[in-house]
Amino acid sequence: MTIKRKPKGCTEIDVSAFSDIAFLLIIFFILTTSLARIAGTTVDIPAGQPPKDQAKEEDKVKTINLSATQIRYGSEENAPALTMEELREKLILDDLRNKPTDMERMVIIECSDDVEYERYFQVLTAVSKAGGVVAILEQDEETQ
Amino acid sequence: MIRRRRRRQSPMIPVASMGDIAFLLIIFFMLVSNFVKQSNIEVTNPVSPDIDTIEPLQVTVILDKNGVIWLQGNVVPVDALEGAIGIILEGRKDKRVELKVDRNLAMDQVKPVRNALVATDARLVLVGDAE
Repeated sequence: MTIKRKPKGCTEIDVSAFSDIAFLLIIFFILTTSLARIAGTTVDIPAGQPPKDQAKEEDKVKTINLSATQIRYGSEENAPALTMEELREKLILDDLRNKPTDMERMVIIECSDDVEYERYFQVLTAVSKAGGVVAILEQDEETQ
Repeated sequence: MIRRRRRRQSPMIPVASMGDIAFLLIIFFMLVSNFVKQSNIEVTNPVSPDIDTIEPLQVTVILDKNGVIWLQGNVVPVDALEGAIGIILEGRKDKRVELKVDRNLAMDQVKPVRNALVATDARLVLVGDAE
């Protein structure tokens, strides 16, 4: 007696659902990916105490006095109040970028506690863009 | 005369390579993705015309609208910030730290954070929205 064997059909794995899963994963990644870049500015704020001889020269350093209502810029105490636009123009006129030393490029930002961060941010970014080196003036706890 | 028409075979689109393409796309997105870690933090960026587009950085400090400090997505007290930043930056070539502060926060809340960051060897990158 001869036994007839059934011919074996070639086994195929169904991969049509494979691409569905893959495309679902793609949609997930598209939705969670943040391709948008952020905007900002790098500031190099000198850390630590200024040297003693620098203190003598501090009188010459430009200072921005920032309060909740006014911006004053200059090395004199009675510098006139400016708008943000006027400050930008003054910074450009001072040509800080082309000054030879850091000391000449330095701009001290004196900021009162009640100032909103956005105002401080705008001043600081304006100084950075003009090529200035930002320095922070902090009063010692004893003198406060 | 009877004409016999050939039976048309239903056209088949080969989809086997579709999975390959899809997985290549997945690998691409996995490599370029930067998962949103700060979606739960409420912060409104300050606006300035003097800023440019920059690459997102690896180390982020956020000061939210309630004055809470977030370092890499975790709440950190101000006293511990300097030490924590020092540990994170240790051995890194890129010392830049992204500082994102809510636009309406008063400077008395910002100053301790800024001073803690300045005390480390981090380079501050202040983040905002371009006007």
